[in-house]
Amino acid sequence: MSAPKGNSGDRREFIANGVRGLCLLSLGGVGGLLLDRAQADDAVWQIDPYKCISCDRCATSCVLDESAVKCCHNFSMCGYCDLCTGYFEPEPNALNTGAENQLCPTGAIQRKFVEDPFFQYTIDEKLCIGCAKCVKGCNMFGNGSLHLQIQRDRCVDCNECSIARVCPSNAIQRIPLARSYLPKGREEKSS
Amino acid sequence: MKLPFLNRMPDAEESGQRVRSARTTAFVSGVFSLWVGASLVWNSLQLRVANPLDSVQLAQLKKNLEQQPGDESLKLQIRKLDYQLRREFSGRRKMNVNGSYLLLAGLLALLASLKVIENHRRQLPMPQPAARDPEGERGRARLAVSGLSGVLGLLVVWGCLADRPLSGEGAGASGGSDAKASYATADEMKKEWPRFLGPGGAGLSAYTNVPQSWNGKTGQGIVWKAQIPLPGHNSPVVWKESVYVTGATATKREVYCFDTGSGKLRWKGEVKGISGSPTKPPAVMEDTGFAAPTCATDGERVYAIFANGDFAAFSPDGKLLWGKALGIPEVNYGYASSLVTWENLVFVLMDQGYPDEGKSFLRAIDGESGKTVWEKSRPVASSWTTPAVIEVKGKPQLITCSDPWVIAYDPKSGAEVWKAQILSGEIAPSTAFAGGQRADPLLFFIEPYSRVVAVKADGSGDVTHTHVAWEAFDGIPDICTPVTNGELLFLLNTPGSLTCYEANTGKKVWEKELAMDFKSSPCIAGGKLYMLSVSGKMIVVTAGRQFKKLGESELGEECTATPAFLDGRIYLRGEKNLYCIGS
Repeated sequence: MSAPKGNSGDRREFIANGVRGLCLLSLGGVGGLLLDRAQADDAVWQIDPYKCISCDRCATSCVLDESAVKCCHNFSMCGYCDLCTGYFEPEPNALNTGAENQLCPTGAIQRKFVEDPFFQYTIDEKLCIGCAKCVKGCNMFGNGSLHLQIQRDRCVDCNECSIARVCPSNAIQRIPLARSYLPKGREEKSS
Repeated sequence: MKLPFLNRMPDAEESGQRVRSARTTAFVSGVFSLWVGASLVWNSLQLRVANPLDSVQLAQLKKNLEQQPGDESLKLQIRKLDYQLRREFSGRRKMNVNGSYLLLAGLLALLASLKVIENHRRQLPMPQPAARDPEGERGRARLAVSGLSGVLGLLVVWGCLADRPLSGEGAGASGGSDAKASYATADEMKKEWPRFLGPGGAGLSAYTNVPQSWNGKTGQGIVWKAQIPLPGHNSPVVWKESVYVTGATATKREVYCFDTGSGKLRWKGEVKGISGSPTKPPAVMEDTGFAAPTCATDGERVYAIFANGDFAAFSPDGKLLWGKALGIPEVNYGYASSLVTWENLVFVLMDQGYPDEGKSFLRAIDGESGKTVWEKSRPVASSWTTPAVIEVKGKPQLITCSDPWVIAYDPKSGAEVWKAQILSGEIAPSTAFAGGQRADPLLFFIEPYSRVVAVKADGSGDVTHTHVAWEAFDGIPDICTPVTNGELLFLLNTPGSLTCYEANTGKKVWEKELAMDFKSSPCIAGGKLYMLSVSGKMIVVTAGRQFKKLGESELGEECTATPAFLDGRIYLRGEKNLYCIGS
């Protein structure tokens, strides 16, 4: 068998493929337009830090393997305590960075000496798993400056947040996109 | 220069070699993908079932340290184990991420190999010259290209038109456009009862032939009575032949349309399947319930909102047009602000939390499409009030009142016109106004149990110290919205104290104790003041400078909703039934 001579077949095939491609493109365009129109008003999921009871479900119920919920720290509320109840185990062996004293299971809180007797605590977001152990400790005996929040760059904005479904205190809510975050602390709120 | 190998067809041997290597690649990549996939599943299960961070051994060692706090070797052991566990945890996490990329690469290689195999199996076509009809094919191709261009052109035009502002001049009822308006005109609105407190929210009926006496027990003056399936404290809304009310429980939300002539339930529409609707019901007080906000209509659609923030629009024949979940309002007792329509817009007032929390907002939504036209954040606390649209010097103002601000907005754009910091506490009574009788209409605001404040509506900016006309302190309500006929202002509080003020001066004219509880707001129809008590007794008095009781009618059912006053009819919602009073 030999290949057919001439280019007319190729041209026709080219035109047919072109038409098919255009059809697909226009279908895609219409689909995209409809999808855009079907989207709900811009709103994002956020945790109301004042309702959160630090139950640890944020760490396990997110649809992402690594939860979109992370611990945040409001420095303006922090007491910079030497004995930080969000950092240390209850009744720690010593006030140092030894693993036996740390509450955080992943070592996501960095403790840095500022001046006697103050220490600064910073969250390493990459290590934080949103387990809320530090938040619970900070709220029980501290100023409550550590709090959980859904990180906008990680959250995939599920139509029905899987954490919201199991949150025992209804702390997860939709807020207008313009407000972005629900931070803890009156200073940020009024700004 | 022509490259000789470009058009060269592979010979059979070369083709066979390619197929063999593609097959080998497909097999290897398939096995690899399977292995990576299985590893990922196993790794994820391990993380869930035996998470290294939940190590019992580490917990036990920490416990031991509590018993022997000075044991340095124990501390070292804990640190070592802790390091191992964290490493294992982060390793598994990394494996999940890297494994996903490997799986993707494996699957891509598999697909590519399969495609190569498929290509080599394909037989070249052998076209039959006789069957060809080049002219016809060209014609069809031209037709297809033209048709497709036409379709694409139409799509572009449609896209451009769809993005035009929905509230444009041409869309209005009085815009002079040939297109049919998607909402009723202001004159049509005045003839109906389209929202809580009737046209504009003034509590004034356009009709003078409203019934004055009836008896629910004997049936005298009752045209019909119909049971409402689900409970609610919202008030009836009437448009032509339809009476709309809503009802809800913790799990179910419905809108009902009754026939004004027969009382027959024409349709009921369930508000369900709204995207983002909360899975848990809001905490509400029994006195508020799950359906306290009154629905509203623009003549073309009826809009309803419920305590869980679910908001929907229905067509006059009961079809759910659109719905949206606004989230559970953070309001003590439960959400109770009613909806308001103006031209093509529906306004949702969501006052919640505390003033400095920034949770309160006012949203204008296009009734036809359900799209948000504008939204304004409000520096106010929770309120249970309903906005009103009034006209000042020919321009509309959307009036809202809450703690601490009374704010007037331009309903078209949401721009703030004026505001006054005059209220505090839990604000439930809405604005009272006579509507367009003065160039600088007076608006009346209630600070519960404390005072009534009259404010001139012709200001701009902060008018707290410049536009308060007067204030008074007797007979102040906590729930019922006052009503005014322009000359007199009537205040009715929950224990039944009725107080009449001169609207322009704030001078008290008279007061009367009615000795019964009221939650429904008073309304004026035909120069008479109608007040419906919680026990279901309607008290009718002259809306004049002397107190004169004209009638008292018993319904025989508890009432908290405000009635609707139409042409020779009153539509009245009891605890369980909807009544039509008339002859």
